Amino acid sequence: MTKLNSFKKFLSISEVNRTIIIIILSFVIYILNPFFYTGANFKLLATWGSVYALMVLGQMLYLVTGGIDLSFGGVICISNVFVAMFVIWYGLPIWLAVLIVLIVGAAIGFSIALFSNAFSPPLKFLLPVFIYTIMLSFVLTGIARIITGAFPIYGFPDYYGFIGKGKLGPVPITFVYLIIITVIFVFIFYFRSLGWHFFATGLNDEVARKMGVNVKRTRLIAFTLGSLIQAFVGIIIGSYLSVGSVLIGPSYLLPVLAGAFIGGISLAGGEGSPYGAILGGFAVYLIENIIVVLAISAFWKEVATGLFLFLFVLFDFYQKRRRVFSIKA
Amino acid sequence: MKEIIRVENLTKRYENVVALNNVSFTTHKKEIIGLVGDNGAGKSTLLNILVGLYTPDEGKIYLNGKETKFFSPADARKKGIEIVYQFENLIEGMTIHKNFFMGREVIKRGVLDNKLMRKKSEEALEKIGISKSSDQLIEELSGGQRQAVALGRAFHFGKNVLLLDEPTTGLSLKEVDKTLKRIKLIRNKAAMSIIFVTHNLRHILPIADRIIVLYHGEKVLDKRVEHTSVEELTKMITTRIKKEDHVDKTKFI
Repeated sequence: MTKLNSFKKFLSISEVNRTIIIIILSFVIYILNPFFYTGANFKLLATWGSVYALMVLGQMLYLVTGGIDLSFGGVICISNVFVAMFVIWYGLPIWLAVLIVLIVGAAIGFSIALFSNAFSPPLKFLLPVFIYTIMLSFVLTGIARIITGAFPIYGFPDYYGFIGKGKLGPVPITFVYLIIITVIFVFIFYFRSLGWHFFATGLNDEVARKMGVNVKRTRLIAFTLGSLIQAFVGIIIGSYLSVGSVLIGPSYLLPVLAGAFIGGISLAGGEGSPYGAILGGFAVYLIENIIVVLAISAFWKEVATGLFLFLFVLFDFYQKRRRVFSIKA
Repeated sequence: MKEIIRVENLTKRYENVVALNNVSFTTHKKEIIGLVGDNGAGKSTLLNILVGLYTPDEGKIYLNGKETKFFSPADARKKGIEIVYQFENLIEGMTIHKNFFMGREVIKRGVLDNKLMRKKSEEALEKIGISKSSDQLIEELSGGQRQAVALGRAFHFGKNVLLLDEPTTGLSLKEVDKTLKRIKLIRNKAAMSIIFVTHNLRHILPIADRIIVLYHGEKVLDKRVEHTSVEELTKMITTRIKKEDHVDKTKFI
């Protein structure tokens, strides 16, 4: 019984259902176009699915602790532009440019938590986070435009591409990052007190505080790590495309939020799992991939993502309603 | 009987309002004190000071004979002060054992020792007469069972004082009865003093040793239960009367 419970802790029934739906969907796509199950497409899925999954993992740290990050597009944008600027314009070594950008990303997350903690209470926590991250999204993208004049920055040395395009054997490097970061997530969320505090803070910050959880510190850690991951994603995408561009970042906002909700990470806080985040990230990229594989007009991508999100969330709402009624009964 | 907590001349003001005015009292080991008063009498302010949420403007607090201050709820908990609120004691969406040990997790070899925490929480609940799997979610419990979990946690961790803030409000008669029995069990098994805040004299009189009445922030009555009556208490709760006549000089033995 205990073994079953620990298994359920990692994989809830709703996550099993989500996985089955995605597997069935990909099988249907395979029947429609066998190219879907080729090595080349798998490589693409593993590379970009991992990038999306990393973004959802970063977002998960905000959502689980009762916040939301609307600034991560801006963080990704400024990160790839900064690395290009430092390396190509100022001749900094890549490792130093990457380090500076990671620190900037972490500092942005830290500032979000600092600002939101200062105004909540009395405000509901989500309100200052919402306003501040919207502001950051505009400001960071704007700064990147001011710096570059909205022109892409080219001229990276070839080896910079390894960060995004490299491989370990046949495995894309982005998938390796995903595995490492997931292991860290699982360790923190399920084996350390901090994981309990993340969930408790998101579920009910007032009671968590009464129980002795340092809610403000918990959010500082979560948001700092969340934005650190987004800065890393900015570096990865910049490296993959070998460019520093203001076009990278802002467009990911809605798909990644959709990915988080598809993965069962609740906007209400305190709910979600690293596995769900990965599932959500891959699902969002899968939709994009399917559009390409089936050679459907790209205009249908938004429609498909929206409907997919609706389907999953509806399924989730239905399950929750059934559970609440069964408890009341 | 050993003194546990002593407050002397505790005063708390909110701008122009005096919420607590010069309140002093002492509690003893294994003593249940009923703290009663109307809305705005200062009961919650007093509890919030004792639990580290508010800082008093004046006055001193002694714990086991030593002067102390409670800087935060975590600090008060470290000093052996536990509180059970009327509502909002537990986090829905989490299991009993997580609610039990939240903020005081047991770590073994660098990781959470869930097995031990499950066992300890189930044992503590059994000691106060409730048998539940620690893996059960809070939302699956009734109001009385939730209150039992909160009491079990306070019993497990409490060393000095257990503060009960209207723990019987909103419960059915059967659940009130069970909760009062559990409070008595805790009194008998633990070496704490219990301060039971309530509006309802019928709930407190059968189990309390002493009653303290607050009126508009002042202590107006402090008597052993056998030296007072429902009539006197009702009068003291609702009307301002010269307090000197209503402070029991009998020492707690």
